[in-house]
Amino acid sequence: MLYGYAGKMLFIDLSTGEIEERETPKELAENFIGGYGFGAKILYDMMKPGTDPLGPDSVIGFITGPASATKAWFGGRYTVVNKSPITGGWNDANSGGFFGPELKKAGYDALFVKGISPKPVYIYINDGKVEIRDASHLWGMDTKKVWEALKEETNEPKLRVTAIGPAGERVSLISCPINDGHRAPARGGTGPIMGSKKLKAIAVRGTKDIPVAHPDKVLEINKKVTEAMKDNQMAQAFGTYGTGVGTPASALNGDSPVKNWAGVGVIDFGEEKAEKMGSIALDRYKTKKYNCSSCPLGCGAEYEVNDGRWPLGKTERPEYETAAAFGSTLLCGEPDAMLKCNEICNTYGFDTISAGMTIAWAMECYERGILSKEELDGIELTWGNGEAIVKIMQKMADGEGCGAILSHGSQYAANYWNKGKEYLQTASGIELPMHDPRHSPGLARTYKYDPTPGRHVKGGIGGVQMLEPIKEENYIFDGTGPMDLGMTLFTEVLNASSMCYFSTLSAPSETVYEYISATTGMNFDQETAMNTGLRIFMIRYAFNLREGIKPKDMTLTKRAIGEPPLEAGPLKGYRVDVEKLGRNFFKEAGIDFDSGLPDKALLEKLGGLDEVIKDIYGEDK
Amino acid sequence: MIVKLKYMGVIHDKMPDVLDLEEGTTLKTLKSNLLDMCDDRLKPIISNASFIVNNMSASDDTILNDNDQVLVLTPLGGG
Repeated sequence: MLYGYAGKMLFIDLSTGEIEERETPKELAENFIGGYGFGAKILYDMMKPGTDPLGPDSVIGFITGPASATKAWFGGRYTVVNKSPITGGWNDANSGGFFGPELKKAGYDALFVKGISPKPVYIYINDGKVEIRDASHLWGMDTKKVWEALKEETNEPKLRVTAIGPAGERVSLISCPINDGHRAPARGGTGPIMGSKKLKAIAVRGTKDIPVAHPDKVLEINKKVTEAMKDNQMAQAFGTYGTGVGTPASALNGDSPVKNWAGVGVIDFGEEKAEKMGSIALDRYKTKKYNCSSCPLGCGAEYEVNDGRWPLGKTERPEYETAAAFGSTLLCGEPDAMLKCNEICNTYGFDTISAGMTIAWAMECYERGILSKEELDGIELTWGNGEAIVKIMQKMADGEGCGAILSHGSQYAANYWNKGKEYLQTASGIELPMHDPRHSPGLARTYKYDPTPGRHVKGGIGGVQMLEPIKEENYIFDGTGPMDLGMTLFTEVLNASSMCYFSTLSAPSETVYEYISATTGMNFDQETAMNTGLRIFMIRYAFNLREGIKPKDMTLTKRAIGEPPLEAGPLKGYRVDVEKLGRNFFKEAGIDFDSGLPDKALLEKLGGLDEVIKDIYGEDK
Repeated sequence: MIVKLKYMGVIHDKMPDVLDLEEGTTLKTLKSNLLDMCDDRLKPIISNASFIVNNMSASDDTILNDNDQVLVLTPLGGG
């Protein structure tokens, strides 16, 4: 009995229609936990280097973890893994909601899909029964309508669905599936993989219980976490107003990027606009709180928006990242435009961060005369112009005119038009998220050098700096390796367990290890956690290395590291020595920065990495 | 001297907008005054807040002047 897991994984080939069920190996669970730990190991084994991410040999995985569907608080997330069509390297993105736990209760820890279907299909999983079904009638439908249609078609009102919208169908590089109407494993190009496979949706219904090694212990930890949350103001604030509670402060203190990363919040954006875009100001629209599966915090909410230029009716509260991407980044203080763009992204299936950042790039290019009004289909894309932002976003959603180009992201658009490349704000081609390394310098290392570049939910010292006022000592770049690595390895375990990043707001880090021990019965102590975290990091890293991507090949655009430094505001004069942060980190991780080679003895000591050792060092390991 | 305060985040609407302080007051003293005024639940937030004085980042040693504009920002890094 494998406690904490459903015990089975699904492998589906859409080219042949073959559906294969395999046991979840105990060794896989012990070595890689779940989530992208499972995903990186399985994709490393299944995909050859050089595989076309949009071709039939490309594999996409949907993976839960040992906290999922076990009553462990915060255990509601699932992870999508694939080779990124943007970076050509490793990609993972996770999402909350209810889809992940439902997949596990339907009998599967993970689903891996390869091949290309000749016609649109969806995968239907109902308590261990699996079918590939025709989705021709769903093609062209938005993600919310697909969910409703499939509930009716399957006669399962509690059905959970992750589906691409029209953006994913068109293989937009910044598209993504959406589950539960508004939750998204959005980043790095998850949607185009589904679109290229003609996989419209995965629909799951599950009622099975997951065997838990120590169910009483899980409830005991839950109680401890609930008590801790009561005394934690940040958890209370997120629970009341969502992540957008920090939008105004972040826009002004230098945490949020402003004016495509060239502006200063207190000068260019201002208090009035900042406050309007925050979720305290928008709380008038809230009709209902939304908690993901097994979440005691509930940072989500349903909105009813019946005023403004775009009355949306029922919609969802935007995340901080969305409010900043369509707010301070564009100098837009018009919340109705931001809410409209959020709704377009959720229904058509776009990554809100990349969509907002792509518009920011186009906006700066327009303002500088690099992109003409004609190239933007007659739209005057001036700073802060909400009407123009919505028009461009809608064109991206419809794949029409300039929108067909911009819908593939800023890097694609700059290459297509062959101009404006100096105004891209990306990490290895992925649009940067909404936390500025000039405010939290450790984020520069994470954005540039994590095997999944450009992410704010990967670990490292930046995650702590983000929550603190600016401190001079954060700009001293010596000796950062041990803490940067330690925090990264903790996050590897957290993400692989299927727990939410926000569990760290109210619970000490060892809570994650306690939950894994309680659900699986493993002795998951601090040392096990660090070794497991490093093993997971290494397999993600090795996936990139096998594709020829070494640390020195990874890129981060210069504004994010203060080159040139800002000339005013709270971040005035700050620079980030990202290469030094990278060298410190990789040295501590046992990886040679220049050659990119991980230490062989370390890989052997970690175990579970035989294929990696063989690929790097040859047969006689 | 008069110092004007504005708050963003969870301390919104719960603290004074204007304070009459002695000449030469430092930011450290202002923080201490704010901590004395707030309830226990807000103390960790104020302690960890970013202070921006006249659009520039400020440290504990910053000396405040008449009519300074102080922004008190809770550093809540959203997801």
